[in-house]
Amino acid sequence: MRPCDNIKVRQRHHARTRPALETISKMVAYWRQAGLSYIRFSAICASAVRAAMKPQFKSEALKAAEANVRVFKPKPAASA
Amino acid sequence: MMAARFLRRALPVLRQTRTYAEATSGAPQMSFTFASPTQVFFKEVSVKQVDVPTLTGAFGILPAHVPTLQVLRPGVVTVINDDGSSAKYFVSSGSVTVNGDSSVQLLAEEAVPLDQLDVSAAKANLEKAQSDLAGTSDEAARAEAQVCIEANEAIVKALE
Repeated sequence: MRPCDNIKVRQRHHARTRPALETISKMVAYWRQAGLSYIRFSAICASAVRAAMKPQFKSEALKAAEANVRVFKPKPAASA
Repeated sequence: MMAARFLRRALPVLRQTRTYAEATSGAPQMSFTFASPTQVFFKEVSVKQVDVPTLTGAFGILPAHVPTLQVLRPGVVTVINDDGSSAKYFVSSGSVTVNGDSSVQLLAEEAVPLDQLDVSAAKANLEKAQSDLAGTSDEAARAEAQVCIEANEAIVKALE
């Protein structure tokens, strides 16, 4: 087996297991424990703030936030 | 002769004088930068104090604060300017960096002045998130609902 095959196996394994940031002595945040990253925590908090803005400011904020994300639906695979 | 050798050895110690710690000459200025992806609120401005809400607790940053890196939680950032006036902003999340030269960078994912938030919308979202939490049993979905609940609770608390 080539060395790169090992890396792929390790990466796959990591994607399925919980990120191991817990030790016995450290207190873990509940969202970290449930498998959420801080990036996801931050995104949820930001959308909560945007949802609670007054209407005249909300639309600009939503537009600005959407500008960073583009959603593509995968095209159906062409029949062979 | 013994006395001479004793004195020679003791002199360096005797020369040390002990005094109280010196007061810092000229208070270091705090250069404060506060921005979100869409807006810059403060750019290298000299301010007196900044209160920030972090995951490990809320604390106030003064000039000559110990260098630290923290991540933010939903909460209110209070900036106290040199002239005593203060401004409050609600931040959703982000990071705060205090450097050794007393410069502070506060980068928020979403930051708004308090008067741009609607308390009734926040309360309605809070109730919706609480019902979402009761509705799911998937751990990740429950955690996401809990995050939303805490964010909305922080908004409601900030606006009271």
